[in-house]
Parts: sequence; structure tokens; C-alpha cells
Amino acid sequence: MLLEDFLALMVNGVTLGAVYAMAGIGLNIAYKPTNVFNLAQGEFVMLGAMLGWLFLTDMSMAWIVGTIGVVLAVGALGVLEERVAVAPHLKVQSHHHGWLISTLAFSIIIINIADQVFRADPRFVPSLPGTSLDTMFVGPVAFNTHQVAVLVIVVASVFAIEYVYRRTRIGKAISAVSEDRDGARLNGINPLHLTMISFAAGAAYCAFAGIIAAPLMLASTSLGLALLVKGFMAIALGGVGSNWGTLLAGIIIGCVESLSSITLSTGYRQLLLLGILLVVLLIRPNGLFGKAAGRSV
Amino acid sequence: MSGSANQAVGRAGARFTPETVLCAILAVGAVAVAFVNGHYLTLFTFAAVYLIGAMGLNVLTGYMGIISIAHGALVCVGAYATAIATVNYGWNFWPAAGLSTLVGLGFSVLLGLPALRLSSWYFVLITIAFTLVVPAMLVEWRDFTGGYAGVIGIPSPSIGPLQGQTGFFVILVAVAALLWWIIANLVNSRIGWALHALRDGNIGAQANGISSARMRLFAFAFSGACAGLAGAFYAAAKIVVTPEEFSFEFSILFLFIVVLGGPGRLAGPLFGVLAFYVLPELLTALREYRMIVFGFGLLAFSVFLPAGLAGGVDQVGRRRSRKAMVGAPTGRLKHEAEPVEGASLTIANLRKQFGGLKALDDVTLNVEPGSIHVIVGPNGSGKTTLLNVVSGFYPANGGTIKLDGAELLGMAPEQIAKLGVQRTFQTPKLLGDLSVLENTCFGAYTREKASGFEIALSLLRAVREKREITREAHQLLSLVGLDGMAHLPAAELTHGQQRLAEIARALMARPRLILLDEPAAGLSMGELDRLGDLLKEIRRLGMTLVMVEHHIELVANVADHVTVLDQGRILAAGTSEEVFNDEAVINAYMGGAK
Repeated sequence: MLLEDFLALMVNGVTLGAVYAMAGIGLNIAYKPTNVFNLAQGEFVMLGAMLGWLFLTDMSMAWIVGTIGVVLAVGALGVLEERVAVAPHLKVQSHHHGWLISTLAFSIIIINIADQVFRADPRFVPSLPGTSLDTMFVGPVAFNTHQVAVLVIVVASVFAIEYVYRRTRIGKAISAVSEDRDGARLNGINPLHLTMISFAAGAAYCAFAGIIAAPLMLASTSLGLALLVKGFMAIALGGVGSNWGTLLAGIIIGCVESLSSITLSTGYRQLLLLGILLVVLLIRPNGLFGKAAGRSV
Repeated sequence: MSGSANQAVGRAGARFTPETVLCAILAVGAVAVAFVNGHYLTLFTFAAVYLIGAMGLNVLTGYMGIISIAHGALVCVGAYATAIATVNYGWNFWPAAGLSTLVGLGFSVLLGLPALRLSSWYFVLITIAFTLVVPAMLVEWRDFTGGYAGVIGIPSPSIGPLQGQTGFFVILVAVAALLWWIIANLVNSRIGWALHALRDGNIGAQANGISSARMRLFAFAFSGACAGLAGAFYAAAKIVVTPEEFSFEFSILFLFIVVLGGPGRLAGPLFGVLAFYVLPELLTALREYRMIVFGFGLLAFSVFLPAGLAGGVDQVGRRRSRKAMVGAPTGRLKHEAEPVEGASLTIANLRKQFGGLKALDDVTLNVEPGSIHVIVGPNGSGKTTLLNVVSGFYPANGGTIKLDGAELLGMAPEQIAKLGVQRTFQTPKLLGDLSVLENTCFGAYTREKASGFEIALSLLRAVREKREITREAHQLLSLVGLDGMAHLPAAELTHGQQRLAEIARALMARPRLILLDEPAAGLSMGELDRLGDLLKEIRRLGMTLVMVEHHIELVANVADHVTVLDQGRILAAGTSEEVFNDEAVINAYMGGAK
């Protein structure tokens, strides 16, 4: 293989992996105060991409206006999901994972309504303002400026999220709730508000991921499920709740997928990733970079 | 005598609930309608295939509480196994169906392996990934699977005179009925109760000697086998299999059927198949929006009716029949249980720390076999921690705990239970919706000999053992004075009664050592007297009894030996008289001069 080809695949893999990581980080954000794994999270990415097409391409809005619109709309949907599908289950103190069913139901509703509205055709979404999808070279490395922007945004977003959790009042409160929901309540923190905020933030983050990912992978309604699985793989390998671990694992997954495309076709690549996931989870249940937390049964 | 009469009444009562009656009517109705014309025959042939698959998923998702999206994908794998074996390799249908069953079982276990250790939502995502991989692989692996064109010409099964489409349908109905019977046998046995206890996250499950990993493995294997078998029939019914029909929607349909029909209920899959497969097939106009409607249905059911259609029907029925059962008389103390050889418990230098707090600080005590040893002490002195360490729920930071010389430290709770150590909890951990009798029988989990296979097929040994255990459970219930309530759901008992029922359950295991955590709390005066007699009775049977208790009169009445704990340390030890006159003890309790 030529060095140029290898580097091109790597660039592709890293960018793709960054998008997977964003789906995973969205899952982490919603998971943190609730321990709820939102199965509709992938659909928020899909909606971000599809609404991005609607606002930016179809309705030709200015990029920043359209993006804010998409993020707000999907964020609101996240709150709606939290209210109807998650809150009723969090009230009941039981080991039934009722939210698995309800968030799955929510995602099925979104997919199928989106299918009716947008139909199955792939859609084009413009690249970030000031960037383009034209290939350019620096030495042997081929890339486009949109890819660079996506990478910068992902890394910056993880810094920002970690800053919020560590330094701000609300972030600390969310961390406290994730440690001990009842204990936090006794200290005057209302976990219900934080749950809603986290779901809104997780949904908005994923919608934004959808907008910036769409130029790279074409928006279609089947995007959500695939990204949910990739996002899950990223957090399962990176360690649930660890955003840096998720980012690293997402990029590894993206590179494995991209590099294996030389010899493997799509189906085999999916099988390879599933195999890696099963093996890693068997050997290191807390992920490659996860700490050995207490096991939850 | 009164026990068996009760049982007969309970059985008869259980047999004709509205749920079972409706279920029988629907099943007979469905079979009758199938013979009306060819269209209905095809429809109900597929309905029977879905029913077989869904019954398997019900064991995993309903009884075990692990949600799987991959059930349809496993059906798909099973369908292709049969298709390829019969068409490409010329196998007969039945060996091919056996192969499909094994293939389904194998894949299900493979996907489930990580979930043996991890939270069950990992499994959901793994199954989604699998569901996306399977159709893609069918296309890729075209030399073997025929790619998009699929496999054509799968033969139908036949047995003797059962030929053609009608014969196939009759075979399916028979297989479904057989599977129903097997699942009914399983769920009404220790296996079903164990699944139930684990699903509810019941901490008592471990104390009762149940290995969560083994039960999960069983549930994965069983549901996978059913999916594989359903796949074999599906292929035969379709004649042609192609990757396209095994979409994500196909996979999720099984989850709809189980969750909406009534998870963890025998009739659930039947209701589910009729309401969510047959009905939509008849209402073809709705098909385009079916998934949206199902999505809303799933969301609404998960919040408002988690017990599904079958559970809803059952609730309506129960509201009417409940009254007659309340207020049954309590029994008298009887002496029929068999003696047990108690074990000695030797604890030396035991230490347990929670962060900086020393919950147990160098505790050494010796419990004679067959004696009653009471641990007393103020709140927070480490009494319950001691029980939790002995029964394996907390790891210790140092020291030894020996049961008849065998080290218990480092063993899991279920392993300790298997050695003959049983315990009760401050808050009783009964399975609320099972009857008191079933909860008591469940206590025999570690000593039952009949294998899952024997239980499933209701073979002689399993039937005998069940009868014997039921008889013993009635005896023990009369020993604790609850025989009259044997058929009430445990949740309807008072707190004190639940405590007594939990003691009966613990005794059911014939433990060599029994640990009771504040058995007297919440008991009425009458119950308190009976508890004293019961404890002496346990000693008479030969069991070693260690109990944490506050009730001084009761302690003075029954204890052979008393150990007083204070802030994790042993303050005093001796007979109750010695201990309660000890000055240090009086100070610790009364907060006297320090």
C-alpha cells in the first residue's frame, strides 16, 4: 500500500471516529446523572443531519441560524423524551430497566416518522462555514478543511464538557447526582432538573454532531441506528462515562474500520468490529481505558 | 391434611383465572379460524411460528428481564441454517431443524457472554449491532447464502399422516403446545423463581444460592434455541428465504410481541402474537404506519401497563376474586420437620472497614453447633455488617471465618449458601407476587436434585421432588404459623408475617447455620411468643442459629450465648444473664457515665 493511500485512510478513519465519539459522548452526557442509556441518542444525530439538510440546504438558511435552530429543536425533543420516556421510570425505584423499552420506543417513533417525512434518499448538507470538502495536500497527507474543523470541534467540545463538570456549579451538581442520587438530593440538589438539562444537552450535542458529520457521510434516516451502535462501541471500549476514553476509542474504531476497508467489504467490517467488541468486553468489562468500577448487576 | 386441601383449592382457583380462560378461547379460536380458508391457514401458520419464537424471548426478556433486539436475527440465522442444510446439502427437515436450534442457541450464548458480567443494557446494544450485521453478512457471504437471491425451495416438515400445509400447521400447533408446557413446568419450579428473583434484583436470590451467571446463561441458551427452531419453521413456511425480509423491524417485532403481550406471563406471547401480528396483518391499510403505532404503544405500555395485555386481563380478574382469600386462620405449631446436623462457626480477628470507619474491629467469636448465639449492640455497632460478611455479601479486610473448619472468606454469597448457610434480612426479601408457599418452596433451591431437563419435561423425579418439597413447605409454614396463608401473594402479608415466611424459606434449605437479622422487629405480641417457640424449635432440630436482635426479653428467653458489639468491637460475651449485668454493656446501652 502506498503511503499516500494509508494516510488518506487514516485521515478518513480519524474523522469518522471523531463522529462516532461524538455519538458516544452524547450518550455519556445523558447517562451521567441518570444511569440511563438513551437508545434514542443515535436518532438525535440522524435528526441533526436531516434537519440540517432541511434548514441549510432546502431552506437555504445562514449556517449559524440554521444550526442554532436544529440544536434547539432537537434539544427540546431531548427534554420531551426525558419527560415522557425516562422520568416515569426513574421515579420507580426498581431494578427493572423500564427505560430500555421506553427509550427504544422513542427511537422507533423518531425513525419511522422521519422515514415518512424525509423518505429514504440520502441528503446533502453543506460543510462548516469557511471550510470546504475539496481535497488538499500537505506533503503526502490528503484531507479537507471540513475534516480538520470537525476534529478541532470534537477535541474542544470534550475540553468544554470536562470544564463544565469540574468547574461550574451545575456541572458539579450533575457529578454529585451521578455519584449518589439520594445523597445529592439531601444536599438540596434537584436531580430532576439536572436530568432534564442533561437530556437536552445530550440531544443538542448529538444534533450538532449530525450537522457536522452529514457532509462527510450523507444524511439518511438509517444513520441513527448505525451511529448508536458505533457510539455505544466507543463508550464500551473507552469506559462508560469517560469522555476522553470515548474519544480515543471512537478514533480507534474509525481507523480500524477505515483501514480494514482495503481488504474487507462492509458486512465483514461490521462483523470485525462486533467481534472486537465482544472480545474486549469479555477480557476487560470496563473498557480499554475504564477504571475497574464496582460491577453493576 | 389441611395443607393439601388448601393446595387443591389454590390450584383450582389458579386454573380458571380470566387470563387462562381468555387464553384458551383465543387459542382454540385461532386454530378454528385457520381451517376456514387457505389465506387464514397461511396467516396462522406464521402466527404459530412467531409464537414459538416469542415464547423463547419471553423466557429471556419476560422472566429474566434481559431485553434482546437480536431475537429476530437469531430466527434469521436459524432459518438460513435450515434453508442451506435442506436445499444445498439435501438434509431432511427435522435434522436441519435440530441444527437450527443448536445454531440459534450458540449465537445467543456467544452474544450473551459479556452480559454475564455486565449490566444488561450492554446486551441490548450488542444485540442491535448483531441485528445490523446479520443481513449484511448474508449478502456478503453469497457463495453460501445465495446473496440477495437467497435460498429457494425449502421443504415443509411432515410426520406420518400430517402432510401438506394443513399437516404443517398441526405440527406447529403441537410444537407450540409442547413448548408452552415445557415453559410452564420451568417457570413453576425453582428455575422460574430464580429467574424471577434475579429479574427483580432481589438480593435474597444470592443468599438463596443462585448463581446469576448460570441463570443468565440458561436464559440465553433457551431463548436462542427457541429462536433457532422458530427459524427452521419460518424457512419451511416461506419456502424462500432472502436477506431483505430479516430487517430491523422483523427483529423488533418479537420484542413488541413479548413486551406488549405481557412479559413474564405464560399467555403473554399468545396475546402478543394475536394482537400485534395477526391483527395488523388483517388490517392491511394500517401497515405503512404500523411501526409508528407500535412505537407509541410500546412507550405507553412501558409506562402505564408494564405487565402487558396478559397482565391487564389478569388485574381485571383479580380485582373480582381477591376478597374470598383474605382472613384465612393461622395454624398451630407442629413438630414434623426432620433434624439437621448444625455446623460450628468460628470467627477470628475479623476486620471490616468502610473508608475510615472500622465497622468490625478484631472480632473473634465462637458459635457452638446447634446453639443459639445472639449478637446485640447499639445501632451502628456492626451487627448487620457481621452477618453480611459471614454470608459473603461484604468482603472482609482481614481475619478468618470458618464453617466447620472450612474458610468462608472470599466466597460469593451463593457459594456460601450452597455450603448450608441461610440468612434472613432486616427488610424481608420475598418475591411479592409469588405465593407464600412458592416463596417457601424456593428455599429448597440449593438442595433440589432434579435437573432443569427433568423439570422441563416434568419427569418422574422432578414431580416427586416437587411434591415432597411442597409437603415440607406446608409443614414449615405451619411451624411458623402461616399455613393458612400459603396461597396468598407474599406482598399481602404484614411485615411481621413476611419475616416469619422468610424464616420458613431459610429453613427449607435445611441449613446447618442460619443467620437471622432482627427477626422480632415489627412482630405483634402473639407473633413474638410464636417466634420464641420457633427459635427453640430450630435449635431442637439441630441447626446452629446466629441472630442479631434488640428485643431483650426474647434474647434472655432463647439465647445460649450472647455477644455484645459496640463500635465494631466485642464489648462483652457470655450467657444473657452475665452480659446484661455487665457494667460496660449497661453504659453502652444507657449512655451512662463514661
